Amino acid sequence: MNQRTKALLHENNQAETQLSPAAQQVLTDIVVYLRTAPISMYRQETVRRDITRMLLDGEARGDDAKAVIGDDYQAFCDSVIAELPPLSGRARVLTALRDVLPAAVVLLVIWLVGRLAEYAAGIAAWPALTVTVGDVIGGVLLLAVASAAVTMICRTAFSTRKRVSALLFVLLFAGLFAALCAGFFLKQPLLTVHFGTALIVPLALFAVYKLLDAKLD
Amino acid sequence: MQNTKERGAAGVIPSQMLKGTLEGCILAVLSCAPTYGYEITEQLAQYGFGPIAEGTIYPLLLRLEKNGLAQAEYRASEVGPKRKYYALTDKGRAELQNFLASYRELTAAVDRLLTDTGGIAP
Repeated sequence: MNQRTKALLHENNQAETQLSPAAQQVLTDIVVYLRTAPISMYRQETVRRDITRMLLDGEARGDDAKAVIGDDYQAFCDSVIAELPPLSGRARVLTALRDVLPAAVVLLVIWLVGRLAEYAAGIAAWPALTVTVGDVIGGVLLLAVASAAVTMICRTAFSTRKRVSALLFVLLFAGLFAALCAGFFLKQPLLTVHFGTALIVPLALFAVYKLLDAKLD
Repeated sequence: MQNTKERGAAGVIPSQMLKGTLEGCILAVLSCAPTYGYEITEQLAQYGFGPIAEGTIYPLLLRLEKNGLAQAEYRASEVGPKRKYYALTDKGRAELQNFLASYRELTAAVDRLLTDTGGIAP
């Protein structure tokens, strides 16, 4: 995120500590719900600042979060989201890309370490690394499941936690199982790359992530 | 209008009825002096609107700000954190006049209808 958003985020984190634990929990649910809304991070933090101050002001006069915000937090969030300018299509795509890149980098590094382990065990040849169909499908599946899990957590911020946790567990387990199956059964080679080239890819993706992160919001 | 309590028939304004007029009423409150969310709910309550949570009017204030009808600034508060004060813009004043004209037209029409149909004793 850019400097302006970073400064506001820091300010909000500081202000939030002044709230009671109960109000902090409400604010956390609200912020989590807003995170997947199609609005910029800066707008999200602006709203977070407003709500934090509303809650602090309320607590100063003895009102709890329900008295300040109302009974239906989700309806409140939806009303707020409706009044904020939505991100453009381009910004949404770039934001989604920015959000998925760190996970992609981690997956690629894990994959590289795995190939190095295979080389050390004498299974794979050096320095050529074979990318299989299963590697690609498994990686894409893991990224999709991770994104779906984050979206699910955010969109159900106000739901009963036990039910959400159970659904989340099923989603993550099914995704991991499918990815492992893809890696195990789909061994057809897709392409062969030099280790040096393979090492550049996560570095390049990380650079793109940093670039997007600095530009967006 | 999520947080306005439905108080039944005795001197109560149902949420749905309030929905279309609350924005104009906020403009009217702001026309007196710049003020902040909680103070607006207090003023509305004093005028008989019943208890309205600050969370109900916050999205409306965002809309006024987005449409250039009000501008906001943070000001220091005597107690607690800085408060977000909203002030009416020239565009907001013009919009308030439009609201007043429309509202008077509506109330006059409703009055005529209810009088003719026996809802209001002449």
